[in-house]
Amino acid sequence: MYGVCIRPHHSRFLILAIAILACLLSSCARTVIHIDNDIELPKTQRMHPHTHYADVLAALGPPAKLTALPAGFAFLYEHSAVIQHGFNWFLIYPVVGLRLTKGKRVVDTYAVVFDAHGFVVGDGRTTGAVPLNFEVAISGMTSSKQLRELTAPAPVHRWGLSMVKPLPKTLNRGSDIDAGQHGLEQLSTPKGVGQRTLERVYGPSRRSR
Amino acid sequence: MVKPHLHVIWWLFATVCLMPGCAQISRTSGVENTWRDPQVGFHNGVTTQDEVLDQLGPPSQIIALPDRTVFYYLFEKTNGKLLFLILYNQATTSITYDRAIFFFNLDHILEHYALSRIDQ
Repeated sequence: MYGVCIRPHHSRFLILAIAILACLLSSCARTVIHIDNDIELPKTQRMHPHTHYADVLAALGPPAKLTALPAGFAFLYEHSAVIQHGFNWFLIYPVVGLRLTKGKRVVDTYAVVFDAHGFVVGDGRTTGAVPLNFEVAISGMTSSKQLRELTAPAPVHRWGLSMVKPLPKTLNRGSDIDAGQHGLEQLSTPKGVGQRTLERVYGPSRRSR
Repeated sequence: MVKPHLHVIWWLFATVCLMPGCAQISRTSGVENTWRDPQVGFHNGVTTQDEVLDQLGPPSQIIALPDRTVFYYLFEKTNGKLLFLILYNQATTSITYDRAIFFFNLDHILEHYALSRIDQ
């Protein structure tokens, strides 16, 4: 016969060890998110004025976003990498505990503006790391709002729905930033500023939507 | 009486402590990237809007530029790998976009087009 026999003092120790493990467990977490492809242009290089948009397309490919302008159009290329570190100390794994999270976002953004004939009139690039979040939460598994926004499906997929949004947004369709007609917006731009200000819903009516 | 197999208990205990879990996620959205089909072809100055629509279907977005019309096709893919070791967790996610963009002149003829890099 083969089996496992646990002596009483072993059993007590095991139960105690598991109880400590379950109640006071701490863990680390690392989250890495890559969003979109690298921009195919060396960071020190810029597009020369009067470069045709076809050459820009050949060099960089399709832009992440584009918009019509009163006297031309513009391309926006974006690449982001999010790196987030977290530390969790659980009272009851993994339901209740203390959660510390700190993240940063490495951004590479390049915008090119063309005239009505399709020639470059200006460009600008931003690269670097910016703080993303610092959160202290006493709860279970939570998800950062910034991360949810960064990883949300591209607004281009919702373009066909732009006319059937709830009222505040539909009323603001003349300035709808996702329509490709009224300007560009970088990823993670706050929603309550600029052209989107009128799309915000405040007060109790928000719950009914 | 059988001898206690303490090493079995410790092995079980260590397994619980270090029990690895992993997950892989994959999500796609947008239009199907049929522009990668070798049978699909476009020619600047020749291909018409109708031919592009016929080959690729409705675009994700149509944008009216001064003197131009743009068809914008977007296929989005999210891949994620998650590792749960209880004491250490790691998640790596990659969101890639396969795009095709077509610029047409006022005569509905293709001026220029571009596709995303294929190595993504």
